[in-house]
Amino acid sequence: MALTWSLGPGLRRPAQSMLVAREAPGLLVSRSCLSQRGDGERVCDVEALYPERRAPRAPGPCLDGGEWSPGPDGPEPWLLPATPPGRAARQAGGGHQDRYEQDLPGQHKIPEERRSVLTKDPVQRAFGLWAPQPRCGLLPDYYSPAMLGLKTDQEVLGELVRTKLPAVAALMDGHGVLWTLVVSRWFICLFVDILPVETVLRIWDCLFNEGSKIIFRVALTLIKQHQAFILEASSVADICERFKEITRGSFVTECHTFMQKIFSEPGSLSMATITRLRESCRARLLAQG
Amino acid sequence: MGNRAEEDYNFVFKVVLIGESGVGKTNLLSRFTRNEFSHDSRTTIGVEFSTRTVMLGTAAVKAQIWDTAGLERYRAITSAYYRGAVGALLVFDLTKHQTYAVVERWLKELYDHAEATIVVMLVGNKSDLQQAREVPTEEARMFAENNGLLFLETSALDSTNVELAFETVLKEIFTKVSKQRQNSSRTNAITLGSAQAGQELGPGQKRACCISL
Repeated sequence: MALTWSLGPGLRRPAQSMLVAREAPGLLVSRSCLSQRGDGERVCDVEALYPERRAPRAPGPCLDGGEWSPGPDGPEPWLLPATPPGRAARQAGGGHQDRYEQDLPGQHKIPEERRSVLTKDPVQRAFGLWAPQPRCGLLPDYYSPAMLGLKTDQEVLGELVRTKLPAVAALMDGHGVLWTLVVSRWFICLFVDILPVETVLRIWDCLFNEGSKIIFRVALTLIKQHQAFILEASSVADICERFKEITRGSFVTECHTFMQKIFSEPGSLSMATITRLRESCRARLLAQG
Repeated sequence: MGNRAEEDYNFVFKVVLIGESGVGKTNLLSRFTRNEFSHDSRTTIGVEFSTRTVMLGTAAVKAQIWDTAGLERYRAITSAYYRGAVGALLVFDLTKHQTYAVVERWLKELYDHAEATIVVMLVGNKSDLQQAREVPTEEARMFAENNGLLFLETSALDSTNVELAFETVLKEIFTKVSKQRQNSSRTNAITLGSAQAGQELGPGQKRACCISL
C-alpha cells in the first residue's frame, strides 16, 4: 500500500521514503489527516497537517512570474508548484515517475519566456511549492523580504554546531565565516540541487512528516560525518569549498542509509530546544537590526 | 582547489560584485578566477565566493571576490556582505536597459552598507552582443563620471576587458592604500606598524584579513 502526500486538490506525490511510509501511518492517523481511498491508496493530506496553509489567495501574479486564474472547479491557486518536482526530478536524471505533471491543471499560466528560467532555478522549484510558507507553520518566514526566519535558522544551526561539534564551531569563528555563507543555499533550496534528487525527496517526506527540525538533522549529519575533512580547511575559501564537497559522494547518494543516519548521528534534537534557540537567535538578530 | 591559502600574498582586498539578476556577475567572476564561461549558468543563491592573487608591481594582492545574488528576494542576506569591501563592480547588461536604469539604486544600497571610500567600477557587460545594445557607451560613461565611478565595458563570453576591469579596480584600491600608508607614516611616524592602513600580511600568512580604507 502506497503512502501519498496530498499537497492540495489534484496535487499528489507518492512518499519516496520507506521510512516514512512504514512509520508515518500511526502518527498521521492520530492527527486525522490520513485517509484511505477506495483503491486502497493511503493519502496523507499535508493541508490537514498544516491548516494554516488554507488561507485563500486572490487571483493575480504569483512569485514565479506566472498568473493565477482559478477556475470554478480548479485547484486553489496557491497550492501549485512553479515547476512540478516530478519534472525536476526527471531533468536531474532521477527517472522518478509520478503523477505530478498529469495532475497539474491548466490554470497556472507561466509565460513561455519564464519557463527556461524556472527550470534553471532550484529555488523556484523549492519556492514554488513552499510559496505559501509565510502563512504556514512549517518554515516560518523563510521567503519573506527580510528572510528573518532563514537568518534565525542559520544562527540556530550555528548554536547546535557549537554544542554538538565544538571543533567545527571554533574553526568557523576563527576564520570569521558566517554560517549564512555556507548553509544559506541548503536552507533556501531545502537541499534541491544540493543533494541527489532521490535523497531530497526523502528529506522532504520527513520534512512534511516531522517538521522543520529535519533540516537541522540533515545539516548536522553532513557536518558531523565530514568533521575531520572540514577541520583540515585553512582559509575562508577552503571552508566554503569543503562545505560544497560534503554534499557529494556515496554518503549522500545512498539515501536509505543517509536517512537512517540523520536520525542517529546528530543525537537528540527536541523541538523544545529548537524553539528555545529560535527565540534567542531571533531576538539577537532583531537587536542587531 | 583547496590550497590557495598557501600562496604568498601581501594584501587581501575584498571586492563585491553587484547588479541585477542575469547581467553576468557570476560569469565575470568565473572568467577572471578560472577562465571559464558557462552558457547555462544558474541563478546565484545567496552569495558565492572566489579568490585570485595578482601581482601589482612587486606586491602580491589577493582579490577575495564575493559574487552576490541579483534577485530582490535575497537582498536581506546579500547586503551583509558589503561590509568590509574595499572595491565593487556594479554590473549591468548593456543589452537590457532596465538593468542600467536601476544602477543608481544599487549604488545607494552599496553606500548604505559599505565604506564611503570604496572603489566602484560601473561595468557594462555582454559587449559581444553589439547588435542588441540598448545602453549607449557614452551615456553610461557620463553617468560613471558624474558619480565618480570607474567605467568599462566587458564581455565575460569573449573575455574582452575582464582582466582589465578587475585589475583596474585592484590597482585603484592599491593606490589608495599606498597613499594612506604614506600619509599615516608622515603624521604618525613613530607608531608605524603592520596594522596601519589596513593590514599588510606577512608572506605565507594564512589568516585572511581585509583591508579597510
